[in-house]
This record gives sequence, structure tokens and C-alpha cells, in this order.
Amino acid sequence: MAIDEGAIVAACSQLPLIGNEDGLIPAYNLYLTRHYADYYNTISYETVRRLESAHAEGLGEAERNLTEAGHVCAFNTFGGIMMSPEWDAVVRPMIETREDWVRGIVAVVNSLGWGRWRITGLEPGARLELAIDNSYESTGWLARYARSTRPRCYLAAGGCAGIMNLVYHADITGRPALTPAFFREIFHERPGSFRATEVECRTTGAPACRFVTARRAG
Amino acid sequence: MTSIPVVFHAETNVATLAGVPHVFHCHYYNCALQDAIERALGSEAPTLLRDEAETAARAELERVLGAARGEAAFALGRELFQQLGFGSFDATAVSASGGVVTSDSSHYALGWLAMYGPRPRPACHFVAGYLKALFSIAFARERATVNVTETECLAAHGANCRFDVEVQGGH
Repeated sequence: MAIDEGAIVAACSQLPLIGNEDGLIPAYNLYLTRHYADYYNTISYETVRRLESAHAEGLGEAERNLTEAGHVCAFNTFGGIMMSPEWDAVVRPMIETREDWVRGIVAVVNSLGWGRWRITGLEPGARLELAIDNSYESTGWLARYARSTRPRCYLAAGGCAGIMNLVYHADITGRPALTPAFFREIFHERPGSFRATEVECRTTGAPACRFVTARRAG
Repeated sequence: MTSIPVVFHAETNVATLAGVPHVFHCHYYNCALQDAIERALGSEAPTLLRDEAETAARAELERVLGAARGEAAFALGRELFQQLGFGSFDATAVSASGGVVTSDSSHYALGWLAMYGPRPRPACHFVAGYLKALFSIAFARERATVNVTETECLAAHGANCRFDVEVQGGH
């Protein structure tokens, strides 16, 4: 296999991503934060749990918006990374096929502190199967709440869809401009957009979180 | 600025600072997530976002600050805030009895403006919660007696972000 994940994680995890004199971390054409995993978890889960408790009509929309935030994240962050000088220096030399773009960005994700993402199946242009051994989302849920009756990794689902949309739907290899209009086109307007389904989740008792990403019908 | 070490645990792909897990996320996600929560909870959102920010920050600040107290502790908390990419703030008008904190580089305010343009109300709920945690620890105040309110915000047509720190009873 062309992609050396160990080398990518080692390189990316040691990048000097620290606030500048303004306390900002400009990188990949965006601003990063090295944020609290527990903050993301509690604000997301408390929102959903409040809506669940109230049997609110807005629960479904809220959960979709949490995953949509993951789509936005993936489109801009993963897309920015895949067009960055750091990618060109570390990952690009390893790439032999379009599928290596998927493997390469998953390796970079494994340097972000999100837990360990593993590709368990990849059908070019069609389907991604991915497992996360210790997603920070499920880790946060399990530390705070009782077992869930359904999957809870909203950000990860958005991330998986984002990877496939960038590589096979938007063709990130052509270095497109990552504009809001292009995001809408790729994720919501152009037929064949990818979506991820979390088919197993640690919050429900599964040993790992598993995602299947495929093109939407129609 | 001296940075506080972040440990990357290669066996789990988790990063921690003072034992607290940290994850990288961009302003796109931070603002889109906040927008999703604000849409879902309406008027309840600011309190949730501030309170959970305080809780998350407190867990780490208690470890990072250790026995340090007073202005030196507050300065260390400011450095941590800056290191993590949340922006920078001016706390020269803050004392043990409260005061005003200002910022012209809040990640949340600048990120919101870049993504959505101006908004009608302040955006920096995370910052308010962080400041409450920092102030109450640094100046040894009961958390219930401290209130931090963002009264001006760059994202809401303000000249900068302004946070009023009030201590019930004034001391």
C-alpha cells in the first residue's frame, strides 16, 4: 500500500499548530482551534436530549443539522488540507490512485485527536466502510450517559460523507474553490451526493463505531 | 508565550493537555455547530453554551493553574486560551472584584463574521464561559457568585468583544 499512515500521523501530529500573537491558528485557509472534546459532546448531546425529553418536533432536524455541521467541517477542513502545502509535501508523494486520497485524508484525521479511524472497505467511487475504535463523540457519551438506543456520532458521519464527496463527487484533485455555493452543489444539489450511516455505535454497546457511506439514490 | 505541552497518544490517536482530551476543529465547524444548537434551542442556547464552556474549561484550568492564584493565574489562563486558538483578550481592567475583558480577535466572533456575516446578538458564549471559569479559579470566587456577560460583540456590530465580569456582593 502506498499510503504510510504512521508517517503521516507522525508528521501531522507534530505540526506547530498553536495560537499566534492574536491567539488564532490560521491553517489550511481557515482558523483552527485545539478545542475541548467534552465541550463539543456536551453541547451536542444536551441539545438532543432536551429535545428528546420534550418529544419536540424539531429533534430530527436538529440531529440532521448536527451532521450537516460535520459536512461543513469536512468540506472546508479536509478539502483545505488536501490542497495545502503540507499535504503536497507529506501525502501527495505517496499517492498512486484516487483511492489513496481517501486513505491519505483518513491518515491525517488520525492526527487530529478524534480517535482512530480505520478504512474497512472502499469501493472506488461508490462506497466507504469505516470504523472508529474510540470516537471522541461516543467516548464522551459513554462517560456521561447511560447506553443509547441509537447511534450518536454526528460529526463522524458528516466527516465520512465529506471524504467521499470531496474525492469522488467534487474531485478535490482538481483543486476546486471551496465556496459555499460549491458546498451546496456537492452536498445538496448535484445528484449522487454521498451520505454516511452509522450502522454500529459504541454508545449502544457495539465494540466500535461503524459507518457505511454511499451515494444517495435519485 | 510559553506553551503548555500537548501530548499526542499514538496508540489511541487522542491528544491531551493536562490529561484533558482536545480535538482540532475549524471555525466552520465551530460556528455551524453553534448555529445548529441555537436553531434547536432558541433562547436556551446561550446558557447551555456558556455553562458547558465553563465546565470544560474549569476541568483543565484547575489542573493547569494548580495552586496559582491572582493575576499571575489569570495571565496563565489567558496564555492557554491564546495557545488553543480561541483568540486573545485584554484583561488589564480586571481585578478580584470583577471588571471588563475585551477582545478584538475572538475566534467565534471572527469565524461567525466570515461564515454568516453580522448577527443580532453576541456570539462568544464559549468565551464567556471560559472567562467565568478562569476568573472564579484565579481569584478564588465561588462560581455561583460570578457572572460573565458579553455586552458587545464583533459579530454583532460591536467595535470589539466586551465581557463584563461581575461578582455578586462586589467581593
